[in-house]
Amino acid sequence: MKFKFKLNKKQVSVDVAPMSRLLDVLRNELKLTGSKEGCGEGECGACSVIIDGEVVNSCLIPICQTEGAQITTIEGLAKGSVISPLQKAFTQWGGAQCGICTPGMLMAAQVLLHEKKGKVPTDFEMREALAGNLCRCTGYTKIFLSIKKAALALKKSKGRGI
Amino acid sequence: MRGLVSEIEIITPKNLNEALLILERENSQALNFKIIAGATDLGVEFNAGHLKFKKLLNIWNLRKEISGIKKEKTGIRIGALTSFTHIRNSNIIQKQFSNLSDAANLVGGVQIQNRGTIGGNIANASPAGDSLPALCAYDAVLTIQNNLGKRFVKINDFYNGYKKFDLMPDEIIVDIFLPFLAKNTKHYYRKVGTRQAQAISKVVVAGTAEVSRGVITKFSFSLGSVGPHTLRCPHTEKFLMGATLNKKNKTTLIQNAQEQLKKDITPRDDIRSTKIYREFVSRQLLGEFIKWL
Repeated sequence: MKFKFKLNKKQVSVDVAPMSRLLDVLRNELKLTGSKEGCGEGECGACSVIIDGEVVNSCLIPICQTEGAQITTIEGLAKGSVISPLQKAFTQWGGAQCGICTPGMLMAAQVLLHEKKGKVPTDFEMREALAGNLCRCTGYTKIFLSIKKAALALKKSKGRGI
Repeated sequence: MRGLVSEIEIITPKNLNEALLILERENSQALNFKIIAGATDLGVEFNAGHLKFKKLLNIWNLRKEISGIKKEKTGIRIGALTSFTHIRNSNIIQKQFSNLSDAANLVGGVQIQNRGTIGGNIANASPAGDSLPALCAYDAVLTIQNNLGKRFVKINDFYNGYKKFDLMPDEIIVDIFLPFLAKNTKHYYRKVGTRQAQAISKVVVAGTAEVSRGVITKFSFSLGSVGPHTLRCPHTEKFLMGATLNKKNKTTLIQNAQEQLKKDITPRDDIRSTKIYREFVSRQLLGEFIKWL
């Protein structure tokens, strides 16, 4: 069956079984291998992508539920070769270590920064926004630090480049 | 091993009418088509290779018709496809049905809250469903619809065994009605699990109480993960109704209520916890609630 949706601002069409998981369609059909499969049961958040402004687990989404949706994956964060302020902060402040959780962390953090509209999120808000993303390397401290630094940078630049 | 996508047939109706017509046609004899909403439970079953159903009716597109929170004269009506994110952000639910917003806050993580629906939580019928004790303690009424019309079922009459409930194969839960409570009602919700987010509960409770001049005039207490389905506690509630609360008798009152609670729950050992722990925690939570009144 054919399904159409917007992926990283480009219209795409795929011909797959309706129960195909969004994660598999992204990785296998569309060759976007940034989103990772961790647990495959909605616990770890490594496969997080943004659908219509909300962060979701792509391992749990049948492709038939994405018809007409706007999807952003980790590949959609950078503009060409210029990485986003959030990605930059993660590389600068040790938010990414082994890297498996990183795409999902970035997706969840991206939605948080959007919702905060230029304000710096509190520790509680960050913990809540990232509660669905597991990391076994960083102990989360560096991730929270990176998000805070990104938020501060965005505040300085008045939200440009989010 | 994961399920095979090629084995699964999915129909996606455009609107509720079409969905009900399909269910009438396909499910009049047996449950051929299983309803799938946000896929946060069925998706997990599918990924684990445990999904029993080969035919699914995808109602995710019916959100325009059966989601959202409406205020009515005597209560609020929540569309079955309302997500937990929507519920936790709702002002009226935070103010008047705080147990339900507390529950929505504790469902999975943000990703699951964005996709998980309240109707799905009800129809998945897990004994550990986070929102179910809140709904049971609030005496929620479900609107259930088939192609012929609607009927109304109290959630406290809805479940009758492990994953068994009063829903025919041609029916869809379309909304949930919560009657308003008196202003002085106290609301109590606690979920006890291994960690705050992403954990399935060991015990989950919700309660409401009204106290007037030192006398308990209304008391509801509902528990999850301590029986085949979420349950109310008739013995405990009956015992506490009309009880006088004062500093002298509180300790005895709590002890006696905790004794009654034993008759209401049937916890078991499983992968998440033990019978003994669950019984202990249930007693303590009841005690905490009464102490707070």
